[in-house]
Amino acid sequence: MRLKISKHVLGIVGSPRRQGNTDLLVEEILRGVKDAGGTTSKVLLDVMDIRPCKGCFACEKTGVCVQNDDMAELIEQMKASQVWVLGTPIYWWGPSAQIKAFIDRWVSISREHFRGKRVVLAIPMGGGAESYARHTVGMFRDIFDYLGIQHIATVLAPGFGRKGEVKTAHSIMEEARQAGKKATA
Amino acid sequence: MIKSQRVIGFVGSPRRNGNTEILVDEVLAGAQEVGAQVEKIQLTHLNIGPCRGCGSCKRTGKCAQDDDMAVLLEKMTESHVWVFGTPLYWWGPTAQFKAFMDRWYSAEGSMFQGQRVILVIPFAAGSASEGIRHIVGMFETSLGKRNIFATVLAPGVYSLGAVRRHTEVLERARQTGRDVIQISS
Repeated sequence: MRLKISKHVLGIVGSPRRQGNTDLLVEEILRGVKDAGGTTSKVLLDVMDIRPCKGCFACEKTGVCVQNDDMAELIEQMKASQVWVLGTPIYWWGPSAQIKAFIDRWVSISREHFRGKRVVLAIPMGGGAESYARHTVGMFRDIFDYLGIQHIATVLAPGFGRKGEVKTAHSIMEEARQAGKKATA
Repeated sequence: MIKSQRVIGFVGSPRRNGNTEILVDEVLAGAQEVGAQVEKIQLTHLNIGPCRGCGSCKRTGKCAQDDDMAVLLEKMTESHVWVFGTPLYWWGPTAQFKAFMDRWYSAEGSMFQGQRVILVIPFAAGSASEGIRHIVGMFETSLGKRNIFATVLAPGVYSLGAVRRHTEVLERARQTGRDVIQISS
């Protein structure tokens, strides 16, 4: 008999809105993870203290960031997870400042902790077409290629600017749930 | 008498005297040489909270956050040329710059109309290749391609102040500052 070790999936919400469209999509993906037997946890970047990178490059020499905030603990959670669900709304055709601050701090993390990780992107946007996300998805793809991250799925939700309205989009919610299952398989 | 034009430069890098600031300084110096009034803003020294996504600015016309952004929007409105400088971090703008950008949401659309913009983007990769396409795309779609007067790219610069050795890039930055005043006024 082969023992299957269940995957842990960490959802990271980069929207300032609690129970907004990003949060709901990430939660739905995490539901799919549970359907497939995985375990989950979720963090809201906006309520955490994650300061922007200071560009001092002390981490290049010491391996740790000089800033003493919530990022160190989040890095431990990232290391303990096999899959990350990264959620951000589209602001000005880009990621939110909150998720960018989090990404910028990746500079202090050793490359080995990224290689082979699986990532699902969850990106709602007020704009009515998926093309509003093209620069953001492109940015993430370049990052994932560079770090050797496996990009499992991208759940896009165009046309959802009002808080929480993505809940009513059954096909997108179903796609989110399936993405969670796929990432856990 | 012709009223002198106002040029405002924003430095989105956390580093003092880094490549972004040096290049923004060059653009501003070029504009000043030909009679413009110039001012430089270091975003990292200011208190600019990320957008809360609360939407209250769409009802009241102003942001619910009481920080340094209100003054910056006034300065942007009074300026004829905006110089936006950010290093490339993870294929995007810095979190500091993105927080500033996200807060444009509360501004009147008229603030952007016909505005002339110069982008300044130093980055570590050796050539101005694919790596900058998403950041440039974010700016072009957000501001309108025709409003972008010029983009000063500085490939191959990483360590603090390395761009000082790239005299041709410095000269291009300075000339761009002269041109934006002389060609379009």
